[in-house]
Amino acid sequence: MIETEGIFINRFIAHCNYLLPLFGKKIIRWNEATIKPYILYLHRGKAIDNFFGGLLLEAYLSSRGETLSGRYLGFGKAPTVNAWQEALDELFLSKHNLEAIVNASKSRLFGEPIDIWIALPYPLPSMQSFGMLNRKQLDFRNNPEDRKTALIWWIDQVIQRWTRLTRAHVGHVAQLRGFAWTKGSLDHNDEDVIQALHTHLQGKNLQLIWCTNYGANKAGNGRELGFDRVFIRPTYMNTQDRNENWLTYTANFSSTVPTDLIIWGDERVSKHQLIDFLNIGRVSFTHAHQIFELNDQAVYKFYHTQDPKYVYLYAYMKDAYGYIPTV
Amino acid sequence: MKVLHCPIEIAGQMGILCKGLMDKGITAVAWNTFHTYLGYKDHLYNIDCYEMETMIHDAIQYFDIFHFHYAHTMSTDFSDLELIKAAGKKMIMHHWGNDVRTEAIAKLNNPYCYTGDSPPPEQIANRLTKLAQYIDCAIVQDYEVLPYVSPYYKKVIVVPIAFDVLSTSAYYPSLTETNPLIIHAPTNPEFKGTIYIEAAIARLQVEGFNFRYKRIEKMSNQEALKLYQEADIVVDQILCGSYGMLAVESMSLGKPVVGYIREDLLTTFPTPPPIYSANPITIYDKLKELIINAPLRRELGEKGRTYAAMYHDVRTVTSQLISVYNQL
Repeated sequence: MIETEGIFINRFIAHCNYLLPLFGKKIIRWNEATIKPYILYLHRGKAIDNFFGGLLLEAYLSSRGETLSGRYLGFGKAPTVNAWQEALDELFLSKHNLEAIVNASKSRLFGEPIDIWIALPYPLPSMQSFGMLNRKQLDFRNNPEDRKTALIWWIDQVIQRWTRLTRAHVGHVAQLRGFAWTKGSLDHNDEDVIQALHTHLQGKNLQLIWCTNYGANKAGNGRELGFDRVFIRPTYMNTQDRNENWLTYTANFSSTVPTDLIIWGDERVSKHQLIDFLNIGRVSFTHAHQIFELNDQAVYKFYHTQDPKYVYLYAYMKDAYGYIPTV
Repeated sequence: MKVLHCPIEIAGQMGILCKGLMDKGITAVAWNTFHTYLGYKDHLYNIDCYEMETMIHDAIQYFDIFHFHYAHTMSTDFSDLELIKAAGKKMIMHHWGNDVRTEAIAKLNNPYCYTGDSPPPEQIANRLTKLAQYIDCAIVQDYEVLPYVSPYYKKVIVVPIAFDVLSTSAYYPSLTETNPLIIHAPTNPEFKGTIYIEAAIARLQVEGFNFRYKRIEKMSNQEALKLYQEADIVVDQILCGSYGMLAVESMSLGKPVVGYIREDLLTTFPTPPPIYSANPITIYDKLKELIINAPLRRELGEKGRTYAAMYHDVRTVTSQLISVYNQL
């Protein structure tokens, strides 16, 4: 854990997508069994140690295929208030998602807290008929202030329901730390929206983080924009222009500015993408908090298929990872 | 059919085409990484090139057709093209002019054309060669752009600029206006020939002709379109030899448009465009004539509206585009 302005934040955060994935029709719902291999390092079903110190939950698409995540604009229909409501309801679905995490957190060793981060749905600037909220029809295109109204409503709903949920669970160690803005570039009046969110969250002792990409405009000015932390994703593409050096450049930038980092483990980019990240990261990413983006319950699958990547990840977090050749 | 347009929005075309395609039941998405004061936000997603990179593999899985614009693709090194081809997905490149225009070809038919904003010729040739390794078919807006790319692709198809003409009200210039308003909106003054246009305007002002002049710049397209409604004369571009989006928008609004149309290109349009042709030598005379002749302004405005509705309306253009997609 590292202290930032009096708030202790766990260093390694696992990204967990919920609701509809980009491909396929099966809704992702976390339960205690699927989340446990993230928050505990398991060996043959036994907890050996704690594992990830934080979880970032993000909905990509609603069950009707409306885009919720700012990371994946264009992979679904324009979202309405119903999709945002569904993202909320799913988060607090009985025995799943947040409730499963809260329950599972009771088995954390040494009472070490697990941080909870929630990705905000993205309010599309061109959306005219978002829907009715508090008896007002919201129109993001013509009334940009409506974007703030919608987000603040959503945040307040999460906080209220989180308070209710955690009151009902004695002995849990899950702590809501804040919210994430996951669109990598800032569009139109996004900056104005972010300032408003920052002010709103500050009063509640919660943080606002930005998940962006190395090279993105203003990625080095997170604080001025209103973000408490900025996590940058090296767009390592396993190509001539975006080869492994790109990881090192990102790490250098990140340690200079400073920012935090994202381990982007998309194995369609390269079969060894996660290993490539870990190989470079073990030396160059040590200064930073890190979000591990491994889609669709990958860590759970690593554990259950006895994929050595489960062990590699643990070793990496314990500073015991050795270089693994990938060629 | 799912179509992805990317990565550079030129004159609002990606958004307009996507809207037109969606109205015909096709899933069409535009990613724009080129952000300007024109502020395009309708029917497209404004992202940056790094966000686009992170989505390449998802896009290849999700979309069926990749409609690229302005000699760019999703990767700066065109490495996405090999992946798209390997996935058996279709691709087309839409060239808009400044991405491919070289002085050597431009000067063959046009002494005025400005190519200072185009990349160096070697870079253009290199880029087109790489693109054509994977992409068989290209689209251009007219026959002015065609010769720059035709040596590279197996097939080049002309698809006119699209605009929602039929949903746009016409504001024909008044026959009684004695103090006409001239509007010129140069997004790129050197390319448009603004220096010659404003020299002619200054001379006409000194000579005491009764007119008003407004230069529109650094304004969103949405705001600019409102101002064009007030115009009695719109000056588009007088160097390139063909016409662009401002002319199409203005004709749709029923405005007389001044621009340079190369004589050798006139027969390449479906019918000769009713644009009052003027080059740097003739701009003074042509403007003078329009300033003093309200019936001519009105006549050109009406003809322009009819022409735009016939050839540039988004419904017509997207029908052509779908037929192009079906041939890929």
